[in-house]
Amino acid sequence: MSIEIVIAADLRTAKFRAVFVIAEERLGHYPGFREALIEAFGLTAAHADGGPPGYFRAASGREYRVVFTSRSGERFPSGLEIQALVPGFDPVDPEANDEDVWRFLEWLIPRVGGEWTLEALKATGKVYKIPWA
Amino acid sequence: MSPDTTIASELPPAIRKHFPFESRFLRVNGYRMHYVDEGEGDPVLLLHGNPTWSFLYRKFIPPIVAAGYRVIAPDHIGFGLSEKPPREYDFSLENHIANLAEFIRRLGLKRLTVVCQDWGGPTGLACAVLNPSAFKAIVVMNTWAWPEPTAFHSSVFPWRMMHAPVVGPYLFQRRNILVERGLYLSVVHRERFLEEALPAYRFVMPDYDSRLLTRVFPRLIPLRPDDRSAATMRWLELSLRALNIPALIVWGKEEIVFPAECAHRFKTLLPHATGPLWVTGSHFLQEDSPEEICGHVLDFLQDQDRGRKA
Repeated sequence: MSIEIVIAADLRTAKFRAVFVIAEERLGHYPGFREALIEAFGLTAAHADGGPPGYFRAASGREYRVVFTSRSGERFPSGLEIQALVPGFDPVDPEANDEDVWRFLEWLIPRVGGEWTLEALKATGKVYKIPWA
Repeated sequence: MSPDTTIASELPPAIRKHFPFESRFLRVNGYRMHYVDEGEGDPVLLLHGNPTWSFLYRKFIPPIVAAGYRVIAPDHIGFGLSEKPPREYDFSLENHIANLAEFIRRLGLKRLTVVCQDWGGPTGLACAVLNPSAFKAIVVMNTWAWPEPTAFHSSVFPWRMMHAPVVGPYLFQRRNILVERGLYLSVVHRERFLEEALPAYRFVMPDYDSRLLTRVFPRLIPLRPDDRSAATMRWLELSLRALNIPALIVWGKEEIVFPAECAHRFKTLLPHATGPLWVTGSHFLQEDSPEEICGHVLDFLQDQDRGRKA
């Protein structure tokens, strides 16, 4: 799948600004999603206490920051934000970001596994006219 | 001009021509709630669900007013022209019920008939259960009032995948799928919908934050006995069994979200109810058969009024 997890030192986007794409406040709504992200990004309890965010690079070459959030009473991470890393003062291309995040979902769903299949994601995307499904 | 008035007046003429009603606002539990309040007489409360607003009932309002009733159509907090809180944790079934109950209390509504569809059902019916002496009748359409999910809501494709973690914010908020596609797929008269109604639903959800409730409401539908809203839905079902208020069941023949067995389950819960009466209609049956449904509602209300006078 065309998503590559990277560390901050390996980012190609220099002098970036972070631009909000999506936020998820309830990763635990279906707990398998949280577990898949913990494994994919190597998250530990230390990440909940000022640890580094995650990063990924899409096949397009654009890079993204994944900020994991915590909430009292819930396991870490309780949520996340995906932010596009935009060089300097370059303009944002929301459709390009949307395609990249769709690819991220395609990468994520098989890692959740079980009843959550890539086929179901793509079929859902087709019904709702997601251009990249 | 107050900020609230400014928001209402911003509806473009193409939408206003289908929704020529005065917008009113009431501060409910700290939130700004938009509603329409037209006519005089016993009040009829029209309750919408996800992702619509009072616009859904635009064709119900004139005939019900003309028949001698006061029509009140609010927008749930988070929808339409009502305030849209920006945090997922602001929304719960219990908060929505409390907001509607306070709205009814603040307006001092008595002898009330509630007409409800989708999330208008659990919220409106709960208000009837909480204060039955204020209610004259209930009309249920394409909704539910129990903790068990339908087959549609249990399935991964498309329902649970749509609102799954990370997927939900992307599809509902980033891509606005419920407004841009879901509504269209859930009406029978699609061309008419595209021309007349879609612009109004699209207008009130122009950006990511404004669409938050469209993805939160699906997560509030209980799938398992320990899910968030399950206890309230159990309470609602048990309470409805004891609710002896005249009732009418109207259902869409093409409805797949809450299929025909839900109409029959309401008949079991409310054995004294009239119906189910079947009309042409998918999930948003108000878009498909407004005149026919209004006819059924008015026949039912006038039967109740005649019965009370006799």
